Amino acid sequence: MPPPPDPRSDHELIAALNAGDAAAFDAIYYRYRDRILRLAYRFTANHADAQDVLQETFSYLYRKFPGFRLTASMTTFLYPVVRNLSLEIHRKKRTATTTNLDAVADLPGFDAGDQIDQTRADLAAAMSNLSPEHRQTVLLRFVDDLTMEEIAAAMAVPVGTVKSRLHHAIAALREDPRIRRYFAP
Amino acid sequence: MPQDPAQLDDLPDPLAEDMRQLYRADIQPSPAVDQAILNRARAHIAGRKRTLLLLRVAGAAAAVVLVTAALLPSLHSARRSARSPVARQVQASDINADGAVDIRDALALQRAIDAGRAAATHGDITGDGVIDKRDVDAIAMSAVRLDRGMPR
Repeated sequence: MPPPPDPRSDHELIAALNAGDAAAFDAIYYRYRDRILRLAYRFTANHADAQDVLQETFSYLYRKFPGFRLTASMTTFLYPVVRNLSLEIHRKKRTATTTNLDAVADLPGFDAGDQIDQTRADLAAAMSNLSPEHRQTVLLRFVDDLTMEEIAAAMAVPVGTVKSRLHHAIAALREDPRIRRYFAP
Repeated sequence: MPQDPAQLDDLPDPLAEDMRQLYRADIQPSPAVDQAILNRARAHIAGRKRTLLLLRVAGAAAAVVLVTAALLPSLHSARRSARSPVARQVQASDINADGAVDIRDALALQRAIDAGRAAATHGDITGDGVIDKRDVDAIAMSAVRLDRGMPR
């Protein structure tokens, strides 16, 4: 059972952890657990693999203590970790990492027992047509609510590249006939 | 009518909402995974804290050892120099050179004085530059004192 949210900021929790307060890790963990798991699931499209990535990500994080300094936001720090660990699992398992229709069918709400929502299935199909970089940019922006600067830091690319990718990704979605209705005036 | 460029880089609200519902998968790790991660993290952080504490204690101990090692020769020297008058006195009092200062040394010094060999002995206990009966008395007194104040 997760504890109540800790009112301290990430930097305050990190300072407490650097001072040896192990309980502060619980607060960091529950603050970012779901986000990391969701992100890992997006990369791996597999619940068990996503849980492995979750464990490895936090192992990577706690091994940085004491002496860890957070220079960006925690999300932008964790994103490349999750991505690289997911790719590592992908290399080991030789399975598809990009979200495709099969993977989307595994998402909660799309399992065999549910009536697949055609609208969202079309959206998933349109998203799967984007390049991995464009798709991740769109997802970081509109699903994870990251700013352009945070996306740039997370993906280790200039802000201009993020804007360009976003622009092209949205243009491609706009042109996709399966989801054109979203853009109808 | 041309579209607002800002709108070109944004998604319509219904699309963004459906995207969030689609990709914000409501998945949870098992409680066992939660516990495994948190237990390992706590053990690691507590272990590092212990290690740091041990390193600090070891560092402090090493500093004490180093300071002691640096000071020891001068302390020893100071002690030896503080002790040296007494040591010299002990050595001077051991007239028969048997390693002990006792009444026999007083008798030996008395005989040497009587035989005119006092100058050949090292019996100037009083330090007045003359070897005489007062030196014999000093050795005798120290030999019979209960606390044997004159160290051997």
